[in-house]
Amino acid sequence: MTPAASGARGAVTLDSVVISYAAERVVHGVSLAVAPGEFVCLLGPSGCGKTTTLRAIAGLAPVESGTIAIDGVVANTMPPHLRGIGMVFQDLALFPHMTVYRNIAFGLTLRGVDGAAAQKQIRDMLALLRLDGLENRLPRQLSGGQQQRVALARSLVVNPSVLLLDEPFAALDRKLREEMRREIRQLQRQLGITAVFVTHDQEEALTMADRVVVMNKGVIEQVGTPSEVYEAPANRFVMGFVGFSNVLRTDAPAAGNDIDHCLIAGTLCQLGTRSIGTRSDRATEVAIRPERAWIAGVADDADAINRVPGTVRGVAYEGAMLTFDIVLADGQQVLVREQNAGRSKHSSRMAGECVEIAWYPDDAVRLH
Amino acid sequence: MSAATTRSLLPGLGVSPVLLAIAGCALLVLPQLVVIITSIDPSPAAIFPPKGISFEWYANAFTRPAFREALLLSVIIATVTAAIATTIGTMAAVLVVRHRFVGRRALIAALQLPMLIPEVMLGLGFLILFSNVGMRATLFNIMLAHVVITMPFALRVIIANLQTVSVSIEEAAQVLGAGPITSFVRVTLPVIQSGVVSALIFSFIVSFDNFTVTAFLVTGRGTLPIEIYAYIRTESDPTIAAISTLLIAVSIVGILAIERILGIERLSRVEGTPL
Repeated sequence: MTPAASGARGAVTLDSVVISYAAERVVHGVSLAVAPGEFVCLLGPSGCGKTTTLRAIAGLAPVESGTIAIDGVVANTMPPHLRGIGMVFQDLALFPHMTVYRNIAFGLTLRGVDGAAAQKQIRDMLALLRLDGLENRLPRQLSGGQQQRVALARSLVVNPSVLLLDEPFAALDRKLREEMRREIRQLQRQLGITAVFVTHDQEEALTMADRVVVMNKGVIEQVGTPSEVYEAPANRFVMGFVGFSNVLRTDAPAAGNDIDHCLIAGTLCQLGTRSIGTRSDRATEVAIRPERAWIAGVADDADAINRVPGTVRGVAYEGAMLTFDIVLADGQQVLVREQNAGRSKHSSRMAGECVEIAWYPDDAVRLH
Repeated sequence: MSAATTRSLLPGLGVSPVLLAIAGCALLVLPQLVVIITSIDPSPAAIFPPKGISFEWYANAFTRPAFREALLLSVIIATVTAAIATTIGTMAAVLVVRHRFVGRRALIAALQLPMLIPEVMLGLGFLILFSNVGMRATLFNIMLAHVVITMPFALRVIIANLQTVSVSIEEAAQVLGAGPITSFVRVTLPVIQSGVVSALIFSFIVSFDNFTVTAFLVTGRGTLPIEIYAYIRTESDPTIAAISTLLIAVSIVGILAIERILGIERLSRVEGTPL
C-alpha cells in the first residue's frame, strides 16, 4: 500500500448511533471510529444489529439519533447515491439484465465518466479481478466466485472512499470462501481502501480484520484486534461467541482466603495472573479454550501447570486435529483439542481411559 | 414418477389424470373449434356441421363499415386503456410492494375492488356518475371506465413480478450513484419488463372484450363487442363466427409472439444463482 493510495480518505465515525425499524429499536447507541485504510469486521449473531449498522453507513437505514460521519462530513440524512461509497450485498445484487461490462460501467456512467476513460477503467478493473473475457456474459452465466468478483469490481470501479461488505460469501462453498477472503483482503490492502465487513462467522472475522467489533443485541460488546478479542475477551458473551471455551465451575479452596488458587472437580488449581485479585472464597467459573488444554504426559513440567484427572468419553476425529471429550470427577465436561500427531502418544486414546487434563494457569480466564 | 402420473384415479373406470387433462382441454377448445368450422358454412342459418365451404361471411365482415369502425374504435380504446392502466398499476405496485405504511393492506384491497364488483353495477354506477357531473365525451368516458376495470389486472401481475425482484438490486443502484428515479428506470423497470408486457396484454384484452360496462356508456357507434351484439340480435348468419375466428387467429399469433419474446426475457431474469 502506497501512502498516496491510502491518503486520508475513508474515515468513518459513528457516534451513539441509534436505529429503529418500525417500533423496534435494533441498534442502541453504537460508537465506532474506522480509520482510513482500515479493515474492520462487525461480528455477531444474526439480529445483533451488525447489518443494520452497515446499512446505516450506506444510507439504507435511517439513523434515529447520533451521528454518522464519512470523512468528517455528517451523513445522517444524505441519500445513498450521494455518499460515494461502495457496497457488496449479501445476495450480490448484480443487475440480472446487464452484462458484466454494463454492470461495472453502471456507476461510472452515473458519474458522467464514459467513452475511452470509462473503457480504460473498466478494463483495468476486469484485469484486476481476473474477469477478462467475461465482459459480455450475463450474471447468471457466471460461477459463484466470478459473480462475487463482478460485484466487487462494480463497487470498486467508482473509486469509493469506503467499501462496505454485507456477508458477501454466504452463498459460497468453504474452499471458495477462503479464497475470496484472501483475495478481498489483498485487494483492500493494494487499493488502500477502508473496508467495513459484516459477518457472523468468527473465523472469517479473525482471519480478515485489522479490528473486530463484536456486537450483540444492538450494542458493541468489544472492539479489538483479532488476538485481543480471542485471547482477552471482554466478557462472557465475547468469550462464548468468538471461538469455543470450556466453562468450568470452581469452588473456593479449603484455605478460604487463598486468592490465587481454586478447586476444579476437587483438584487444587493455580489461577493465572489475569484472574488473581478477587477473593476466591466463593464458587465462580473459569474458561479454557480446548486448544489451550492438553492431555498430560509423564514428561510434562509438573510445577508450571494445572492437572485435573478425568475420563475420556469419546474422540472426534477431524483429520488434522483430534478433539477429546473428557468428563471430570464431578461430571463436568471438558473438550481438549490436540494436533493429530500420527503415531504419537495421544492419537490412540480410547473411550473409557483415565487421563489428566493439563493447562498453563494463564490460559484459564476467570469469569466474573 | 411416470407411475404416479398415470395411476388410475378411478381404477374401475380406468380414468387417469392424463385422460382428465385431455378432457379438460377438449372442453376449453371444442367450442372454439365449432365457431371456426361454422364460419365457413355457406348457409345463412349457421348450421353445424356445415354443408359446404364458403368465405362469403368473411367478406361480409370485412365489407360492413360498422364492423370496421367498431374494430378501430375497440383497438384505440384498448390501446390507450392498456397504457394508462399499466402505468398506474406499476406505480401502485411499487408503492405497495416497496413501502410499508399504515393502511397498506386496505389500499391493496381497495385497488382491486373493481374486479370484485359485478360489472352491471359498475356500468350503472359510471352511467349515473357521468350524467350527474355532465360528462358527455363518450370516448373519454369509456376509456376512463375501462382503466378502472383493467387496472386491478395490471396491478396484480406487476405486484407478483415485483415481489420476485430483490430490493437489493435497487439499493445497489442507489449506492452506485443512481437517484430513486434513475434506479427505477434503469434497473427496476427492465427487470420487471415481462410483468409490464403481461400487464399491457391483460389490460388490452380485458378492455377489448368488455361488453357490460361499455354497453351502459355507448352512444352512437359502439365497440366491436357492442356491434357484434347488435348484429346477432337481427341476423343469424355466420358473420359473427367469421369475426370470432379472425380474433382467435390474431390472439394465437399474438400470444405466440409474446411467449417468444418473454421466454427469452425470462431466461435472463433468473437472479444471481451460481451455475
